[in-house]
Amino acid sequence: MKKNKVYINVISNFNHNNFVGLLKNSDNFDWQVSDVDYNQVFQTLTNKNAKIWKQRANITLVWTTPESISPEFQKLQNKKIINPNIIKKDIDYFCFCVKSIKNYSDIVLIPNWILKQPNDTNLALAYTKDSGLDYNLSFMNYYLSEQLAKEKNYYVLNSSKWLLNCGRTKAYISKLWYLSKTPFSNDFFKEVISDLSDLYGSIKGLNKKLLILDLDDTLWGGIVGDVGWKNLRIGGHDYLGEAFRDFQIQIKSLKDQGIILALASKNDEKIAIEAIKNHPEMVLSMEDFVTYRINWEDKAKNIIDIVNELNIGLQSVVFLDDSPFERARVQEMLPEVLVPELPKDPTDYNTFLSKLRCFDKTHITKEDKIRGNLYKSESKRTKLKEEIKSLSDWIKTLNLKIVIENIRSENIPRALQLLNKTNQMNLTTRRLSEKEFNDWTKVNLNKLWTIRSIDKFGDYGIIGILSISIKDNTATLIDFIVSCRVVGRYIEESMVEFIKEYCQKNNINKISGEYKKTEKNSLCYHFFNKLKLINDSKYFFELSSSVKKSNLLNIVLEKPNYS
Amino acid sequence: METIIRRSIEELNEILPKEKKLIIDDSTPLIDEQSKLESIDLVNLFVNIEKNLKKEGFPTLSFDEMLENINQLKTIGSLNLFLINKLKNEKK
Repeated sequence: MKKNKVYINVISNFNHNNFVGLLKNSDNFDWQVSDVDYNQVFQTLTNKNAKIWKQRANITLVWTTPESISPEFQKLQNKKIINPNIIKKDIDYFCFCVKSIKNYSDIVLIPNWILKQPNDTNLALAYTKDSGLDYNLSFMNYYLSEQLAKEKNYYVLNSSKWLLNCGRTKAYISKLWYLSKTPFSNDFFKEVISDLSDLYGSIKGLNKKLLILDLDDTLWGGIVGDVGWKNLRIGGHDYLGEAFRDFQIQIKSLKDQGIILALASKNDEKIAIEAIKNHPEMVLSMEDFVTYRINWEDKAKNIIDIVNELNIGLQSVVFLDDSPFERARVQEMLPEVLVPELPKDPTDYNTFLSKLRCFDKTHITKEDKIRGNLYKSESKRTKLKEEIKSLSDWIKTLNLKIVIENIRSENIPRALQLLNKTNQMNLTTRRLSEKEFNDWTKVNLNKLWTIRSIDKFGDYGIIGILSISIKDNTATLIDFIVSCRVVGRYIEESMVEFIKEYCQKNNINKISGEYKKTEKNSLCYHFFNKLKLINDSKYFFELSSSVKKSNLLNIVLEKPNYS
Repeated sequence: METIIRRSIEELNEILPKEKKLIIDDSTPLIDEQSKLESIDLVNLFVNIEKNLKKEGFPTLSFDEMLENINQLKTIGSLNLFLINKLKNEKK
């Protein structure tokens, strides 16, 4: 894909070769760099005939260190008393020079001042007015921002944040400074380049506009279909609940800045919406979401539906989901969508989101604040013509392996947990105590298996249970349970195939079962309905064990002995 | 040692223009008339090596020592040998 050309002038008082090298090699824009030798800041800013000003630039970066602007400030580093008024005058002159280049560049960026090398000052004196290094550095940055606040297209950038993100020990390499006058490491420069790209993108309207969110373990802790909305972890006196709540607060503030929110969640729509509407600690409400797709369909397809409805380009979309499976699926199907890797620990979600620069804006308009409403009224567009790769093709890329095992003592706790907590893909919603469970499995004609799934993303552990009771040449399906985290990956079909094969090998001709409807297991109904075994008027089903085998794609099925 | 050198060169390549990027191979010249590197690039390479040696818990490498032995650092292969020998001597 052809990248946008960005013309950038780099003017600094230090060796910026490494920065420029990294910038030219970065892949988001085609950076066309013009620079001047280091320590030529004032000479360049005041010489309008300088070569650098021959062509108008998109960006001019004026990057200096504090002592290069104010010799008075340098005195502080030598532990001398200074006159703050002289520092002020030095900054005035710098700002005067910087303002004079406004006609040569679309925007002017000035990283605020940080030290070129770490200097741990005397703790007690750090914030004294006439000798405190930290006080005066803070003052300089404050004063710089004040002086440039009214200048259109001038932005003071927060260098301290780069230092913080990179870590001080990684940001400074003293040898590099003494050998080449390069104050910062390449890791530090990469932070700058990332921010620079995002900032330029936002100015040019290339920033992200639509944030599509998952629900379970993304906006709240827990799986609503299993635990019920009252038991979700949001807010309250619970560290995880608080983390999810803070995450929602930050998402809400993005919405207030004009980012459109939508939901794409694999859930029962009724149950999920009930949770959003009723949970007292929910920060986000249904009104905050412009649209939603809460169903059991492929998320990539749902995202396509959402962008079609809103008439937004895929390149404007960010998708946040805790599941590596869903993220990889969306990333592969829709490479234009930004799919950041959400941290595994929800307590890191908030910091993670704050570090995503893709929503940054240089200013917030009134329209931004009501953008969500504008999109809500957008008429629906015709379906995207591009064909999306089918889910079965995608499953084939996963190297999915399903391991079916006879129940073993070490698997009983997990089996009991699935049995007693799974609501959605659950045929009979049978609940048993440990004793009842052990008694039942001891009966010779009762068979119970655990289902484990492994794919290229890792081992999901035991995610399902299958059990039958055999009588008179018929196997009755007792438990058919799959965790909703892995539903829709042909695991259910594989389980049915296994039962058929087991019965065939053991000369059992018939398999029967009955769907027991609950408030939460409509997902299971849809699965057996899709197999044409049940319908609205018939929940009981029978099938022959010799019925034709279904296509299980390239799934590897590891089975126990049938005897 | 090869991993440290590889990583250091990869880091150097991040800042080099396409035509100067180093191919990671024993025969790739570093310091001789065929080398594409300038002095600032060598500074970066040596700083990267020092950083990566430190990360792996090896003794620090003095820049002066590198300069004193510059004739042994003509290619990536000879740099590798130099570092292996140096660490062997340190262990003794």
